[in-house]
Amino acid sequence: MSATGHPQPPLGLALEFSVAERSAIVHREEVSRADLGDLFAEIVWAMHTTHGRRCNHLFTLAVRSGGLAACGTLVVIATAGRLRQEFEFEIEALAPVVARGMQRVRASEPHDTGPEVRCRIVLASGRERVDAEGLLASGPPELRVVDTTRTKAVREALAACRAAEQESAAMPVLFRAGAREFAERCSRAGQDLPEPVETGGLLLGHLLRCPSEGVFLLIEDVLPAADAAATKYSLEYSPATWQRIGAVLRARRALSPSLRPIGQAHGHNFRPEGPPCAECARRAACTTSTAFLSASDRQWCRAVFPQSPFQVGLVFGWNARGERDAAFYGWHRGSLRLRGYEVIPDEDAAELLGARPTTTQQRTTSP
Amino acid sequence: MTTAEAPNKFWFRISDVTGTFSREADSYDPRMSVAAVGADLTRDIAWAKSTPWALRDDSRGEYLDEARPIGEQITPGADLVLTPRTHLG
Repeated sequence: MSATGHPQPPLGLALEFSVAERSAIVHREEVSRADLGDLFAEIVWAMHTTHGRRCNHLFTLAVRSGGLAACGTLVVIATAGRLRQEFEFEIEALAPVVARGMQRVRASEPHDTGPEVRCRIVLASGRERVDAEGLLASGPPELRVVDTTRTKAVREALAACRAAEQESAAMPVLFRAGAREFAERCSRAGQDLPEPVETGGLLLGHLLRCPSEGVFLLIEDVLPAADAAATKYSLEYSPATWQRIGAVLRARRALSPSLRPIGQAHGHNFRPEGPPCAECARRAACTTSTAFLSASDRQWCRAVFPQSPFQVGLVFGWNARGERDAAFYGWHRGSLRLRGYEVIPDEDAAELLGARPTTTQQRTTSP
Repeated sequence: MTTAEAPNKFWFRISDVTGTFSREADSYDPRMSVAAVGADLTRDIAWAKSTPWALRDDSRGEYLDEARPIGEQITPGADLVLTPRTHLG
């Protein structure tokens, strides 16, 4: 049903589920316009930041089979005036649809569905392409224009980010040093309790554009998730948490309108289960870690930051050697993926934003 | 006539938790259940189906009762926040 109460016809895009060694399709899960909201928003954002063009909200969908992606890939063709660009998404971009379909498959065939369930992206029978209107909550956010010419540290950090993210061409992300430190402190606070729990906070940042350096994100501060319901393995923002965050945000945005929630940080304040692996002594780095985005974390991020292709996430944890570990994620091609960031000194962040460090900035840098 | 000029009309402001999306809603019957209003709002802006949502009255910081009519729980002009009921893990 649409908002006006009229049923909307299916898009003509679906996921087909089958069980290995059986050719029959056991379930077909329709993909809705709502399921594609994050993808469309990412495309609109990319066209806006890369080409400075307003993207047409009518998209063409196609499916590409073969290659390395066994499930096929979804190709979305976007236009802006005469500009036409293809964006290709792998199955991870449709993770909520996969989860929904798997739930139905398991409900209907509980004994037959181990890891051998397969799915592939398909169009309605006989169609090579379908058109889809992108129903988006809002247009791309405004970018705050800044001048990096006076901040050498910022320019160097942007260059380092670009070099590290060369393959994905992802937007550079800078972290104010004090905010990075405060994010870790908030996230690891729960491990000092008699019964350790997960803790964390909301990351606040600015989407910036420099005429000479392009578009980038500066994470400026962290709002701790106070009054949250926390356990060893979960962290739920309560109504009181959100109310407090809302009040602080309104006050901060009155002073700095471009400041916005941009992601989350939290701590998995527990160690990996079991001892280090047999090759531990021979390995330079330990990769068994609790610093990763879980399925619940991913669902939370999709829910709290819908249609926000600039969102980031930071998870603190421990590796099997008992060393502190952290993993940083950014949105790319329809899902949150591991990526890097650069830390810049507080003074350079303040210089970039044309402001002296605020009280909160001073607080977050104090020990 | 705008919503602000119609004192008897039932309306409220709705936003998401990040403040990215915000608008006034004045087309809902106050006798509608909170669940029906929430479902319509999330569908309208094409948000994820897989997440359970709740409507929160920002002045009280409490979730509205999904089963009861919205008009019994808020006053016209209330600030509601569409809040995902999910947790980090």
